Amino acid sequence: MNRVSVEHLTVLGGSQEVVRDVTVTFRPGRWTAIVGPNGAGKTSLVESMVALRRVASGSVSVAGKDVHSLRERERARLVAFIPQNPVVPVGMSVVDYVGLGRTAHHGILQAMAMADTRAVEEVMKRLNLTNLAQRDVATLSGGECQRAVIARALAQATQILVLDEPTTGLDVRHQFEIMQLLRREVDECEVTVISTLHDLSLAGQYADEMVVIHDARVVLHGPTSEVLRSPVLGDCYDMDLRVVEVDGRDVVVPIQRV
Amino acid sequence: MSQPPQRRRVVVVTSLIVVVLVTAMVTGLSLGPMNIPFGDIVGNVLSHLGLGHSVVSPTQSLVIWQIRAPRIVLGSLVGAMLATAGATYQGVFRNPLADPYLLGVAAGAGLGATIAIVDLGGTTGIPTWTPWLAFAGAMLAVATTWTIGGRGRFASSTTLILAGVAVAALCTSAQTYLQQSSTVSIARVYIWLLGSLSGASWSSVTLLLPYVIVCAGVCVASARALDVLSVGDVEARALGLPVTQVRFVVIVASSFGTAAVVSVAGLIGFVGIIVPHMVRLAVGTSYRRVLPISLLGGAAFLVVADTVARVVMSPSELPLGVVTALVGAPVFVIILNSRRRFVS
Repeated sequence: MNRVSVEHLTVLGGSQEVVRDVTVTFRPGRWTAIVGPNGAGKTSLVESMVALRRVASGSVSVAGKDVHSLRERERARLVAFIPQNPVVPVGMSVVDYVGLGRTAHHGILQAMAMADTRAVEEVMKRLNLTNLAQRDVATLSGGECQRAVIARALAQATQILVLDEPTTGLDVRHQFEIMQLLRREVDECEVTVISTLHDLSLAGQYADEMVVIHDARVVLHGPTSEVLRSPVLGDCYDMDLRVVEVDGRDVVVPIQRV
Repeated sequence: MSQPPQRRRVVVVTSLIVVVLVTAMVTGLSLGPMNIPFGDIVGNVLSHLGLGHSVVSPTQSLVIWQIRAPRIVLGSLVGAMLATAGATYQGVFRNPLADPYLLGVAAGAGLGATIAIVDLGGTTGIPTWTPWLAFAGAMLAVATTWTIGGRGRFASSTTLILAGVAVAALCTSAQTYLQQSSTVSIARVYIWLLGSLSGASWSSVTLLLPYVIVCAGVCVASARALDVLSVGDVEARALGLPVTQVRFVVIVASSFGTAAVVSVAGLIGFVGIIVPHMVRLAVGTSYRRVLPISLLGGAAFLVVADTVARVVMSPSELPLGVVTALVGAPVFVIILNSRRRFVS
């Protein structure tokens, strides 16, 4: 149900190939971080995984189905997606906003059923949003807002969650809060999480696997601790990356090459 | 989850609008060159419902039921449709300034309707299939506006509205050319163009009613989809909304409704922008509340405006479009000043 595989995927951005012949299979029930320098093609890759981008060739299959030939509603029941900068509507309450996640379940014309309301309540409780239910989403702080966005995605009740840079613009504490929250979904609910991440230390501490993208290609894929220690990773950024173990966790210290 | 304070507000605002609408209707039946006392109107209406006896004369009854009543009903339909279409455009284009007039839809419909009246119409009245030509004009206009200003890298609220203004100017100039070139129908076109319900009859009501029921019905039914669209196309699609199809259906419905209204009542501006804006201030931004309440509010607003238009210069009439613009223009300025609240 929660397998995602990308085969010989090529995506064009204008006349350039922003994703070039990428083949990768994401492990179900695990967290895979997609890392790589700016402009490597991470966003294009995740967007085409949820059919928000037209592909030039190749395919993406989710739970055995080609995502580009699925209807929006069917796809939204299999995979949830959060872009890097979600649009925050003005004047919408948090509970209504999280409720948008149920769109694919209740249909466009129907009102929310009991099951939908219950799903929303349950997710909001799990993410500690219940006391913010009636607040206007536009007035939330960065950390609260990102929790609401993730709650909306979890309300979709999919087995696969794709996120583009979920920690953008958050302070250290809130970055860890979001990471912990996603980790819990993976551990307790066996959700497959695929996220792009800039922060290699965060990826090192929370993700199970890493896919390294450089120049629109996958250059490395493996368990996080191995990928972080590979010299190839540093070459992608043209930096020396030292991995330091602190309390059993990998922390990456980048040092400029001379 | 329940929202007690919000819900109470919705109930209060809705009842207030209903009271205004009913009062305006009865007042509209009572006022005019032949003044009929308020109480007699109520008695007459009640007698039609089988309650009590009416004291009005046969002439008064004729004025009430053949002249004033159809006009009031037509006014409600026109107002309801314009306000619903305006709110729908605002949702579908995610733009607080979108409105049938600012997008060029009404001008396109006006051009279509003028073609119908001038080139193909008989010597009196409005041909029954005028709405279809008006609709063709409206769709062409909204498609052009959207293509020029609503998509691509530089699209914003401003470019969309500027494109709408350009399209409207083009349609209006073509429309004026047609209007001036036919001396037979110039007066008829001119009066219709200013926006007026003075030609109202039960037949114009029956002409408009089916279009309004279907088009406003589709718009109100799409409220939930418009709420989903408020997070933008990309996320709406990721949430499972077939964005392209929804946008198409909703634009067709609101444009067709606008076209039908324009073909019977001419160009009546600002209703589609003032009413939804007021409603948002009162009950919040969710389209599930904004759309049905705008429908009611539009009806009430237009019946009030039309009564004012009939009465202030009595026995002659002020064009309805003049009254709505008089109220609308200042409100529009207020919206421009506060639009940061709506555009994130």
